[in-house]
Amino acid sequence: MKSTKLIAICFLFFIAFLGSLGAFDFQVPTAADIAGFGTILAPLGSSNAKESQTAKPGFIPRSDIALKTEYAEIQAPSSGAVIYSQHESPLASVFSFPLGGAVAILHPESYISLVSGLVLDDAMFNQTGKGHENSLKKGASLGQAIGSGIYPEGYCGVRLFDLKNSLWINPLFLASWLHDRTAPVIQNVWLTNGNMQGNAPIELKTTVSRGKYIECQQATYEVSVAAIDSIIPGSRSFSAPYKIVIVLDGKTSIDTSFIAASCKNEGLSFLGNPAPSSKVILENGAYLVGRILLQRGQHEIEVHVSDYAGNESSLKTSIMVN
Amino acid sequence: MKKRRFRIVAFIVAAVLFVLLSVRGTKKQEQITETIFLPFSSALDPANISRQYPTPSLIPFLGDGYLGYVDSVSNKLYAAQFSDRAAIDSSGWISYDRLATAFHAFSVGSKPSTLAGYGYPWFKSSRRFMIRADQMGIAEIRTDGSIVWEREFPMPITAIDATPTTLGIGFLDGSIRLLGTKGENLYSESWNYQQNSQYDSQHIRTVYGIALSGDARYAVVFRGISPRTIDSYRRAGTGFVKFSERQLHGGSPLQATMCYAEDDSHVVIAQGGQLIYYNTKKNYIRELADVDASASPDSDTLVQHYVLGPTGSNTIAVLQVQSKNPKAAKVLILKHGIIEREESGAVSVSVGKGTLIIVRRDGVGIVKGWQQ
Repeated sequence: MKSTKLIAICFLFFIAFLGSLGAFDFQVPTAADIAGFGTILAPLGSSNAKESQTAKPGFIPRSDIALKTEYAEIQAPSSGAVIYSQHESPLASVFSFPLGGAVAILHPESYISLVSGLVLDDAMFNQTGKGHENSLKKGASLGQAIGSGIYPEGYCGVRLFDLKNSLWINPLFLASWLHDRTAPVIQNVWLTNGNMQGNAPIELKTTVSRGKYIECQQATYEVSVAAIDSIIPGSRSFSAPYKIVIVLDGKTSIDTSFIAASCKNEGLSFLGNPAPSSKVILENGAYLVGRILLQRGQHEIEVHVSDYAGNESSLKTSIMVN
Repeated sequence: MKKRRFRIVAFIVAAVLFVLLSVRGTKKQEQITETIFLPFSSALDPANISRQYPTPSLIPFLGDGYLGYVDSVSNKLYAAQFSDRAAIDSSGWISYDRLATAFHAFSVGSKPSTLAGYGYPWFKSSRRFMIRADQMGIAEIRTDGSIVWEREFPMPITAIDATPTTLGIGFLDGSIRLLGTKGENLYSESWNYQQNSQYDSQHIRTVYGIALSGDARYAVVFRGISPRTIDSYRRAGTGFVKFSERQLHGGSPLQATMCYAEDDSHVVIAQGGQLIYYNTKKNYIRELADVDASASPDSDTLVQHYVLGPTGSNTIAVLQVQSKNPKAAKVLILKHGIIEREESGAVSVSVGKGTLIIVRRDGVGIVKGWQQ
C-alpha cells in the first residue's frame, strides 16, 4: 500500500516536473559520444564495476552529462543572463579550477545551466558585465570544448539546475536528437542484508540456473543493480541506465530513476538515497536502488532496467525465503 | 620667559618625534640589502634537499613551468620543470595535468611518487586540499595523498580561501560555508530556493571571491552582479556574523581572486581587468584599475589581473597578464593599493622571512631585507 502511494507521488512529480521542463527552450549540443547523468565519474565511459574499483576518489555519480561534440565550438543552449564565468589561468603560477572554462547562465524559466570544459571566447570577457546586463542569446558562441579535470580531451559538460525545486536535472531529457535503439545491459543484481554478518550478498543473475530457486532468510534486503547503457550506439562511453524498477510477486516495490539529483546540506541525493552522492554507489560499482522486505515463502523478483528511449532489459528470478 | 622655554622644549620634542617616526616609515625600504638573480639553468636538483634541512630557510615558489625552493640563507636555487600544473608548499609538491590524470608527488627529502586523485590539488596555509574534479566537493589530504576529511556540496564551488584553522568556500548560488580543521561547519549561509519566488540575476548572488584574514577572525565575500557587494563577516563565538555590506557599481560575472593583507588592513580583489581595493578598517572601496573602462586602442589585447597573495605587512602582490602574443606578464606589489614595486616579466612571487622571491621565466630574483 505504502509503495503504491509512493509510486503515485513519484508519477505526479514526474508529470509536473517534465511538464515545466517541456516548455523550456534548451538545446543540448548534438554529440557523438555521451557519458550520461548518474554515470560513475572517475573512469569516463565505464560503469564497469571491476574497473571502477580502482578509482575510489571519483567513485560518485555524475550530476552532469559529458559530451563529445562534432564541432569544438559550443553554443549557449538557451537564452539568459550570464551569472558566472571562470576560465583557466593563462599562467601555471595561478590556480585554475577543475571545471576549466565554464559559463553559468540563468534562464528566465528559473533554471541555471552550467557549461564547462571550455576555453572561453574572448567575447565572454569583453561583452559581459559593464552594464551590458550579461545577456546572452541562444546559439551565441561560448567557446571551444577542450576538456578539463572532469572531461577528457575534446569533451565538455552540461548541467542544469532547477531553482524552483532545488534539483540538478538530467539534461538528456532535452536532447531531442537522441535516437537510441539499444537496451541497457544488466550486469548483476544483488540482495544485501547488512544485519546478517558474514553472509555474502545474494546474486540474482549469476548464481542460479534456470528453474531453480535462490534460498535466503526472511529479512529486509538492500537491492543494488549494476547496469550500463550505451546512449549513442557505437560510441566509446557507457552510461548509467535511466530507470530501474523492481517488481516483487507482480507488484512494483521499487521504481527509481536518474531523472534528477536533489540538493541536501550534505551534498547530492541520487535514486532516493541520502546525501552525499557516494552513498548511491556500492563498493562493487552497483547502484543502491532501494529496499525490499522478503517474507517466508516463494517469491518472484523481476528487475526492469530501461534507458531514455524506453529500451528495456529484464531479469526474472525465483526466491525461496526460509 | 618660562613660556618661551616651554615652547622651545616642546618644539625640540616634536622635532625628535617627527624624525623618529619618519625614519620608521621608510625603514622597510632602507633595509632591502641585496638583490640576487639565480637562473634556472644553474639550479640544483630538489632531490638534493635533505630531509633534515632547516625548512624555515627554504622558500617554495611556483612559476610558469618551473617550481622549487630557494634557500634564502645560502642563496641556493633548487628547481624542477613541470609541464602543466602544480601545487607546492614547504613539504613538497604535486604536479598534475589539466585532465587531472597524471599526478606526481615530490616530498622534500624523499623519492618522487605517484598518487591517485580525482581533482586538482590546492595548497594554502600549510594545508593541502583536493578540489573534486566536478567542483562540487573538497577533501583535505595528507602529503601521501590520503584523505583527512572530505565534504560534498550541492552547488559548484566558485571561490575558496584557507587559513591554518578555517576553510572558506563560496558557491554558484551565492551560498558560503566556513569549515573548521576537520571539515566541520563553522558557519553557512544558504539561499532558500523554495522561499524565494524571484530568480533573476539580482537575486542569484554568485560568490566570485572569498578571503579570510590570517587569523581567520574576519572573512570578506565578493558576490552578486547587480548589486555587486563586498560583505564582511567576523568571528563570533564558534561561528561568524555578517557586520558590513558595501555596494559597488555594475559588475562582471567573472571569477575573482582576492586576499587580505598580512596586517588585515585591507583586501585587494582582481576580477578580469578590474582591481579593487577595500579598506577593511575604514570600510571604503577604491577602484585601482579597470582595463575595460580605459579601453586601449589595441582592443585585441585582453588584460587580466590575478591576486597572488600577501607579501608581508600592508602589501599584496598582483599578477597582470596581457593575453595576446607574446603573452606579457608583470607582477605589481601594491602597498595599500598603490604600486610599491613593479616587476616586468615576473610570473609569480613568494615570501619568506625577510625575503621576497620574484619568479621569472628564466630564474628567480631574491630580494633580501624585504618587509623587516
